[in-house]
Amino acid sequence: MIYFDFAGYSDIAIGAAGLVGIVLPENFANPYAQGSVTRFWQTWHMSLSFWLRDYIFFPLSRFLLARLGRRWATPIMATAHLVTMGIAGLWHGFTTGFLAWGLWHGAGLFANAQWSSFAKRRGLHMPTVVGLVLTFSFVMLGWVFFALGDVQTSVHFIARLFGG
Amino acid sequence: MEASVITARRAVLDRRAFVLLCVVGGAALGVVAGGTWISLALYGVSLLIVIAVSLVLRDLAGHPEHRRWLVPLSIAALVGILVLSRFGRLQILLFGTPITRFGEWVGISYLIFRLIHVLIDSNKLTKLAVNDTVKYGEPHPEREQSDLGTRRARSGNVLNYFPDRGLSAATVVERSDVAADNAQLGTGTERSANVSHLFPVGGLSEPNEVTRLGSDNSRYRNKSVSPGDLCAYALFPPALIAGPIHRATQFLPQLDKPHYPASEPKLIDCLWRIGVGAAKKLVLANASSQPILCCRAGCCGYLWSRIRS
Repeated sequence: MIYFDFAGYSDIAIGAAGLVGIVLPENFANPYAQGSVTRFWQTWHMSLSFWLRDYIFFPLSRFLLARLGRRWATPIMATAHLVTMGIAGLWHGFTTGFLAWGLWHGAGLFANAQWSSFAKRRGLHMPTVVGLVLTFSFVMLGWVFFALGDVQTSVHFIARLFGG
Repeated sequence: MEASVITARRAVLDRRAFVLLCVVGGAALGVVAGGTWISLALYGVSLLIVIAVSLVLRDLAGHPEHRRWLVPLSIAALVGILVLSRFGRLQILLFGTPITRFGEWVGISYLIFRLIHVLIDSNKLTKLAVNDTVKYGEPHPEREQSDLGTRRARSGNVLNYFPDRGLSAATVVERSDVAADNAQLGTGTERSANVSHLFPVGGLSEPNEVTRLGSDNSRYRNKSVSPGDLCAYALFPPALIAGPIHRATQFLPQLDKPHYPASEPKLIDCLWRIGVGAAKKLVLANASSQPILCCRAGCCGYLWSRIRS
């Protein structure tokens, strides 16, 4: 629902700008057909996710790396992901649900990055279909926090979904 | 000679007309989208914010040492956006919102995102221009000395967690700063630096001039985005309500081009894109909103009944 809402609006904006000869950047590129959470965020609301990357993620991770050093790289990256996506969540509204949605995706991005580097070291490769299903499921579960707006209700909802 | 003068005057008039169209069109869209005077008042607030940022940019062009206030200013703006979202109605994006209610507070927060873009990008360009030793696309020698430890610390692909696959715009700022850093780090961002379609920050009228920054950057020290161009950028009607959040480095050089589609196929492409967007928004999203709302209410009701029992 939110995808059609937002992608539809972006298409109208880009088309209308083209009528007066202005090229606007793309905002969506088949986000639900991506094989990782990182790829999802590179194709979902791109202009905002690149804004967050350039002005929050990069400066924060660089600042922390300069202060704390390379040995803290893993916790620093986890912090940078969680803070960046936490802010992205809070931007949608000051509710625990939006914050949880942001942290959910921050954790997902971090886990995806850790897996990527682990898989690269070991020469592992995840089948495309598995990546697609995992990413889609992860994103859909995240929408529960976003839509219900309350962590407790969302957790109950997810627990019930899995038969809890 | 006279022909060139006439052409130049036409270009200036064309540009001014476009800026006027953006400002007036934005106000009209505010009234139509909100349907109340509140939307027009919000548009007025947006205009005041743009004028304030324009003054800041002018001040920065004359006093580069004031750059140190930019980070606190940007952080304050970001906190402002978050506070605004507390009282705003960003949640209206959900569940098949009618297109006429898409804007309002969302628009203002997007406006601030765009203005932070222009503030930080022109700050970086000023920094680049002030230092004569910086070569375009190459790392800063002094910074490399002072940040050697940091660079070593970064050298293990630790910044590769949010890799850029060339989807974002390649800008002079990215090339000179982020991309130059990442080219050394091998994080993948350098790929965008090789894109030849580089745009300067407003005030540099010819994209090719960017390539001369290293040797002739004194010309640009006092350049800043003009208030009219900044209004056109920040209040560009199609992107006013909910983005995309375009960069000034992409947008402003396009003001030099004729403001109509170059060819008939391009016009058809644009109309097709609008049609596809309208179908997504008005048919797929809105038409299915009621079942989803019912489904959501039903699920919640069912779950609560189970939880309470």
